[in-house]
Amino acid sequence: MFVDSRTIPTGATLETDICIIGAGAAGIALAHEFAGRDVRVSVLEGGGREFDAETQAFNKGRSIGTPYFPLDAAQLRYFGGTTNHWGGLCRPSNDIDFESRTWVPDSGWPLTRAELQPYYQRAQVACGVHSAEWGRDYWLKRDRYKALTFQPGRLETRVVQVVPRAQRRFATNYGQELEQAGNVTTYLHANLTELETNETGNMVGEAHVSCLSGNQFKLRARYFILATGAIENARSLLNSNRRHATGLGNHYDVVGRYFMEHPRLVTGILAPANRSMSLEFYSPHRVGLGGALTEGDEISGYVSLSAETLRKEQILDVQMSLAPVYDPAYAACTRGLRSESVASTRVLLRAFRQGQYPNDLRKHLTNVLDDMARWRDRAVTAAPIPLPEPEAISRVWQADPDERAAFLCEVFGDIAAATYMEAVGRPPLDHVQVTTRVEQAPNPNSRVTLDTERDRLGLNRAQLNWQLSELDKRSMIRALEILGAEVGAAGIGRLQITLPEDNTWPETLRGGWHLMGTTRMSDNPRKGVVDRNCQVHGVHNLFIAGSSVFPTAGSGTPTLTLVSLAMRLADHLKARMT
Amino acid sequence: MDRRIFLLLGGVGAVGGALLGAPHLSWLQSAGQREGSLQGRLAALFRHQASARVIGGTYLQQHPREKNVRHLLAGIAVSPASDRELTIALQQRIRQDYVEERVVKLEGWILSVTEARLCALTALA
Repeated sequence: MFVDSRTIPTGATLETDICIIGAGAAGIALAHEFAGRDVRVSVLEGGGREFDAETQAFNKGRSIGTPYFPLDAAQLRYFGGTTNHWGGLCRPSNDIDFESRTWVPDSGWPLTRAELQPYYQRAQVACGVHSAEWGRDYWLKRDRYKALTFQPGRLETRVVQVVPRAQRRFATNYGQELEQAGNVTTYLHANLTELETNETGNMVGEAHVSCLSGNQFKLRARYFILATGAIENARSLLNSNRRHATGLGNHYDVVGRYFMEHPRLVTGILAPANRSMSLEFYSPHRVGLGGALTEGDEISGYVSLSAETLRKEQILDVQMSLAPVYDPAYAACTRGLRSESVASTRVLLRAFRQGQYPNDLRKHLTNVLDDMARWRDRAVTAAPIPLPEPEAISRVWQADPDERAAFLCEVFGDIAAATYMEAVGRPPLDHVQVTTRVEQAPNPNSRVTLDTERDRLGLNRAQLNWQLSELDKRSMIRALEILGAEVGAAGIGRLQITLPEDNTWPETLRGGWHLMGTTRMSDNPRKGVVDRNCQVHGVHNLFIAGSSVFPTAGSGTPTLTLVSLAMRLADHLKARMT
Repeated sequence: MDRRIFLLLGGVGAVGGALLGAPHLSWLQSAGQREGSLQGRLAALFRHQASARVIGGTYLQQHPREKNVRHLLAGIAVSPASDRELTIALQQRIRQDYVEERVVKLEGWILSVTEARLCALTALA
């Protein structure tokens, strides 16, 4: 059931068994785990079911460190949370990501990868990831594209799966289930203002909730789970400071610290030995049914360092993406491949192949015919069918191979050019752009604190001081040096590192929209906010879900891991409640 | 020294195997057989001599002590064999440089030290 909290009278006190604060990937995964069970679950969501700028403004904050995305762009405050603009890239973390590494201060999870494995399998289904296979060889056997061949040992190609666009929004996937579940109530427009504890501070008794409409109410629960994202989780704990001046769960000043991202930027240029080298494996592409005009599971490859190399070199995990930059002479064709008329052709071909009547037939036919009409201007006058005039054919035929596709596109339209491109394979490479993403080292000085500015409900806004370390930079540089040597040894080409080797970061540095840390997991309360079960140290009924509990970031995408941890937390609570 | 130079250098391999191709050896057969012309033979392996000279110049700026033909030839350490043997030996040496990470960074480009020295020889030729 969904309830508009603006209809709840001020002063009301509601009761439930489990209160989940936040309806993003973690919060919805948790609610899904409890749906239909003999337990009352209440989900508090600050936003509604659609984006609303007024509510989104709660996520505004100040960034005072390394330049970062506007905080209100990095998190979404409505039902479905950040899955509403999720890119859908998934991969579980690696064994080494969980290990304590002597060269990475504060590394090491209180869990092993093996302990999380059963939850990864459940999370894979929950996230809409089609396959449980992550091995490169599994995908290569099914793929028409090949991975680069490096000498064994230092570099490896890994695979991410891309969740289909239509299955990325948890709001769409689980909205109906949660609406129909008799035991789950989702309160929309319900903003948490405080988690109130008992006198000793070891139990949360009530969540204080305010709506923009002005009404305020309380929710009592046996268990509270904070699942509002890395910045908001820290902000909520720090703002719950009526009984604890430094904030809830913050006896040792760890809340908000160790904010991590996946620093990412273009770091190199690869001059290829072979300009027709295939790099399609390293871009999102479909595997399974073959051919760009069909659909199958979508994956993408990237180059990374083996765990042995990370140990030997004493660096962080690094991910290197290879993006082909084609000869500009083919720009018209490559643009054509992304055109609406080519997309319509794909839809029509797929529908006809499956014996189905396509949706929007008229629109797609119009797109195709409009594209084909481009060469009516060059058709032989008065011919019974639209034959291209000989001069146009001659121009295409005689064109330099590098320019032929461009002419084809110009003269005969995008579909003709796309068909040509399918036939010849791909345009010649101009160069390959190398984008590097590093696992940010845990850094206590990279942190979220409270700003002096307050939001409309009187709560201090978040202030982010994103700080990177020498190890982050060194890891990127060393990974690129290894890539440079390996592409040389394999005869793939020559690499230029464009990342400066001093202590500065270029202005082009970005994050990966992966906000992690701030309420990290550790068995030691001086080093972490939550324990191995995601329970806030010293507060027996308060738990945290989401990537804010990650002690280290790994280089992979966080969604699958954070949903796995949410599933594990759900099992922990189920066991505790029986 | 930009990307174009590397693209020009034999469609890539800056100075690697692709560069040490057969088309250049015809020149070597006439000019390269002269006594004491190993430097000339090595320099002539480049399809795009001007590009090789730019790379070589950069290498010599970074390693001024190597601005000496004898020193560079000693570093490359190949004996004047037949053209084919010379080409194969250099290709193997360059590959081995990469395998063992005997590389130099020239304006960010990662090149085998043998490649860089070959370019330097061209710059000095």
